[in-house]
Amino acid sequence: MTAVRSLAGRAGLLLAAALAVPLALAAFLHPLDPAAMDLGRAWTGPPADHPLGCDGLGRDVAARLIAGMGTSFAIAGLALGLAVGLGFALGGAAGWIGGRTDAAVLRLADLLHGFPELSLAIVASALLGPGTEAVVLTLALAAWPSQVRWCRALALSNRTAEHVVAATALGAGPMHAVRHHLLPAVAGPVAIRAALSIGPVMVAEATLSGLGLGIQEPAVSLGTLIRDGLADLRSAPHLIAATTVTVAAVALSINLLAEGLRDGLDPRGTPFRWPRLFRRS
Amino acid sequence: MPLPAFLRLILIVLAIGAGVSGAACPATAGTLRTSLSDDLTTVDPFVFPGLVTAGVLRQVYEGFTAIDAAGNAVPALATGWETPDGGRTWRFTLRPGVRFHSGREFTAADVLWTWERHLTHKPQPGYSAFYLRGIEGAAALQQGTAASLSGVTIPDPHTLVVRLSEPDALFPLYPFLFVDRGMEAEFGPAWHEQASGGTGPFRFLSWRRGESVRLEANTGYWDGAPAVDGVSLAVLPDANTLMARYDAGDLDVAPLPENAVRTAVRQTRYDGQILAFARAQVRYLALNQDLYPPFRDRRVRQALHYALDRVATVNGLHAGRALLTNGFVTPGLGGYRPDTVALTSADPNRAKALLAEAGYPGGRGLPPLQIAGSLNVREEATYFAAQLGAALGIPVGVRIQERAAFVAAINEGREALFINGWTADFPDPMDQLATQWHSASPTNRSRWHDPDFDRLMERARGLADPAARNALYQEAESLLRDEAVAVPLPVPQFVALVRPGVTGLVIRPDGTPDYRSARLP
Repeated sequence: MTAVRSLAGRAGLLLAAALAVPLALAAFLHPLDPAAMDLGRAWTGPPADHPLGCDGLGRDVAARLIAGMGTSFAIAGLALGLAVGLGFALGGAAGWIGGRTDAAVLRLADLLHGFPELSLAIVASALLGPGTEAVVLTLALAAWPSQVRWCRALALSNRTAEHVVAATALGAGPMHAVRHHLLPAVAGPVAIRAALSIGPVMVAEATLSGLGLGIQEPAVSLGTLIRDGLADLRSAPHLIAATTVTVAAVALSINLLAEGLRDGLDPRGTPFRWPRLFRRS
Repeated sequence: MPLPAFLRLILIVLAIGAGVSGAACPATAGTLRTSLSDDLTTVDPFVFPGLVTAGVLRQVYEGFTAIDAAGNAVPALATGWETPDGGRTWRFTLRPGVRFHSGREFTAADVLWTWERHLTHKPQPGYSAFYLRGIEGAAALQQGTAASLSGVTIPDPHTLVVRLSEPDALFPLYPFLFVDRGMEAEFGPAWHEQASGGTGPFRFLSWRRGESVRLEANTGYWDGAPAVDGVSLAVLPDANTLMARYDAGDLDVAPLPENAVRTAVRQTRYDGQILAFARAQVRYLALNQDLYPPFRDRRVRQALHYALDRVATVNGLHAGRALLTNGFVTPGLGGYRPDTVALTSADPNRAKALLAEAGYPGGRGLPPLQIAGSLNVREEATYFAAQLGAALGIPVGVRIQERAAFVAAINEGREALFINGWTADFPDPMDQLATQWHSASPTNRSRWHDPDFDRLMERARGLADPAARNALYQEAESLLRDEAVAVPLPVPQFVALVRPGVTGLVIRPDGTPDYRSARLP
């Protein structure tokens, strides 16, 4: 529970609970198929059996919101997994080895960083066709340069740390130094940065799918829900409202939780204390 | 990254919601303010125009014939045409006293110049070259071995005689756009971007790419001047923006994209402001047998007919503003006959039985499948994909692409199952049958081919007698139906929001709005 030691972490946890509990209840009370259609119910408002109403094809919006969050989390997880894995391997190697390896990796990161997400998405869509694979690749490529720089900086600072220099002087090989000194030192900061990136990556997925460059029907994500909600803006504004509020709340709660995690893991940070008003004397 | 990405999303939502995107719609008193669902692809009358571009070019340029509101061919720049030998030689009498927008008189020399220009256009022949390929000497002119089109003679400035290598009964109907031959000398090669070179009811004024197009009334038009001073067309691809602009009073006429019709119909504030017009279109779920081998079995193709509840979509997705037939010719055209074969009702069990007979019980052995389409058919494709998936027993996906990418993919034969539509360029079933199903047609996007069908089309092309031609069209359409080559889908009407007091506007079956007859309050 390191993450909830700080105010940000607790706020994030509260927000996540406020979001998850009603949706979990809705999923439990109305276990509907997010792909089931009924044209007769198109754009109906929120009656009893459809807590958030139906979309233009008569599909249950609450069921689609739950399914969409699952897909978006999965895509964000996959994309960040790729970005962090590659970032750790290449960034760590660049910082640890230095020299030409360092220069080559940095130039590659600079090159990718120069492309806006949207351009990458269009290229990925053209190569792979619009779909989940293209979105994951785009998001991973967009997130990768910052992960590389971060891992490189961590490796660089640890390489010259006294305990690493001492271990090397005592005869420890490079693999030993990496496994026993570098990895434990960078794992925490890398995890925090990855957690902080989940929210933005989910929002980026929503942007790409909202623009039609993302995942395709019948799969559903927060992005496709925004896209469909925009199309139905005049017929059923509650569709876009429900989705955008959810996206904003998810992104905010994850960011707050990650902030909390960072505060909790920071040995120099001040532990959270409730305001005096709420403290027992 | 976090803040800009989030801000971008919010800005997109706000911009579309507030309807601030899109061009300003310049207007003057007496200007009809309307919109285009997409930007023009060109203003060059020699380059192939899409449906949107053709709707604008046909205000400026004209051919021998035009299509009236009922979809019939009526004389335009030719007052008469006759063939003494069953369609091999055509003698056209041109309308006298017609003047181009430049003030020059329209004569047979302009027709010949336009045709020669199409055939020798670089880097690719003009889009009418396909219709001109049968004129004697066309090949020699294209190959550079002749300096002019030998099959055309001009006995006098208002008479034109055309000799074809094979009879072509449809030659007078082809959608030519005749151009003022003096334009290039006066304005240079890019004349079409700065001047108006037609005889139509409106002269081209300006095109601001991605924003707007302006047309000015041709007060000397041979059939009477337009009632409005001009037309201002704002490029508004987004339906929400389009309707917001209409609500704000910025537009007199708002032609609705197909997927926005039911949104408008269900809003009572538009009561009495919605006009619908028949569309000369064939529309179907196309099956490419080369890309998806199971489609070679007729039972599999028939299974698709039974799997889909097409009737439900007429009201469910098109708000009743669509027509569903079981054929491949639009009602109203010569070869159309009321369905003698009833529309197949949805029967998933029958679909499953047919699949089992074909060797795919429960969908076992069927390769993955997805329905492709452009952005405006997303809902329809999603709906049909769910029904197909349930009936076939395999997951059926949806692949939606931006329109240009989708059209490129189907033209290159890269999609196995897709929603295709074809709006007639000229009022004859040949334009709906041969273009879609003849093995040599460049727009046979499903790549279906049958020598018997090809022979029927080739025979029909040479028959000057409409009754005899129609009999062959009916035979050809029966063949398509019997073979279940594709699944006919509902054809949506052209629907527009029209401001109270605006009268006379008609959208012709080929998609060309008749702005000339429109009157402002």
